[in-house]
Amino acid sequence: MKEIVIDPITRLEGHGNVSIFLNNEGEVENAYLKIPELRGFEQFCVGRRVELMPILTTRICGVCPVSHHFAATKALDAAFNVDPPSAAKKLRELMYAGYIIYDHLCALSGFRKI
Amino acid sequence: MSKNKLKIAFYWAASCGGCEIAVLDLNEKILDVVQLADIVFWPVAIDIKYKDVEAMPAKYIDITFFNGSIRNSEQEHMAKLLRQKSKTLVAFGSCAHEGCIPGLANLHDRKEIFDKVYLESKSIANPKRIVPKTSTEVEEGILKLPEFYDTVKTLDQTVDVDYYLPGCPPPVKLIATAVEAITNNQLPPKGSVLAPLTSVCDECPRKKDNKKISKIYRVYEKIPEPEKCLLEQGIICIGPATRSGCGAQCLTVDMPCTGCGGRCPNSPEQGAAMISALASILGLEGETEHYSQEDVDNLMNQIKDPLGTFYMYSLPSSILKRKVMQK
Repeated sequence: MKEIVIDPITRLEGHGNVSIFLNNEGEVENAYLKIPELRGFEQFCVGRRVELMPILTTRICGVCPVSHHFAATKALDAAFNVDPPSAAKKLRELMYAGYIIYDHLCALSGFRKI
Repeated sequence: MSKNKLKIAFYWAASCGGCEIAVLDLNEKILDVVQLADIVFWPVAIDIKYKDVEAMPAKYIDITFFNGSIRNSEQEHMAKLLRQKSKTLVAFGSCAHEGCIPGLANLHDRKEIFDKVYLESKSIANPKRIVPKTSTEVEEGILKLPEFYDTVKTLDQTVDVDYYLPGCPPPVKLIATAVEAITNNQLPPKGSVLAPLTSVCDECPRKKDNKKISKIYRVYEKIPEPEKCLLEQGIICIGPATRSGCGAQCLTVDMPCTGCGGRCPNSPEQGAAMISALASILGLEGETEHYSQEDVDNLMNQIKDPLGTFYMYSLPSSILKRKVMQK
């Protein structure tokens, strides 16, 4: 079966390649997306100091670190069984809103500059 | 494509994409880069395939900025390929430089990581217990994946490296300085780290009183006094063992340095340097000449996860390199 390989996929964050298989009629029989990337945060975050989680997990993705920072922070809220005060919640919202603006600007203008 | 223009490439191996964002954070300065250089390969931004890089003549690329560590066979291949195609190779960012946070995977081997990620994690549903294989037969043919290594390596443990840009990610100021040095053909001797020759303490605005400490606090156990050295308040700060260039940004918002700038100049490794710095400041209260083993143990036991704390960004490049493999 004829195979068309797109390696790597580009203009997005992350690693991947695509294999497209064509049948005798030249039509697409099947296609596979392969992700040749793993670092293992699930394993090496175990045993670290819990307060470092927002710093460690931001390195899952440097394009959307703020989202990972929040996920880790919420996990810490749950682990410590605390409800953050109103000011903290508002600061988090503000940071996230700022990040959404930053991220869209980055996608719209940053990569268009090249 | 102009003949006089430099040819620049960017590549990411085991990385998070934050180094690419750091390049974009040059903002309008990136226009200078585009003016003086043609970007001939940059997967995140332009559509050039691996086979196009393979077709380039040797030393075709003037400078390659390589971020990410070497974690699998594809990344090793790309490191060797880009070394062959580039006149100058720069290890860009902490992962390529010293291994960074993904280098903490050297506390485990491939099997432990695969088991945790694909079989044991609470969020995983994998009844057929499928884990990645280098070759998988499907109806239509064979699918290949790179080999996942037991050990994370830095770029210079894999190929010859010309320059290093430290940091997670490298501070924009350092990137701009490096770009300027390249533009003016004023790069320092090969092997140089393109960052200041000082430690984070030298850039830190907080005041030191040369105070000793007897108790270690975790960040949530104490609200630090503003403007005073965090380490002298008992909060572990890796600043004394970390290369500067970041402007001590974390310290200006009461966050201790976690060490992303890597080891200081003339220091063989960051972890040992920090342990040494801590040993000179941590002790029992009052004048005590003799420490019993118990005293020392009690002092040391205050430090939770010393390896993850002192080698958070540099385990692969350290003397330790990794946890001993179970044969």
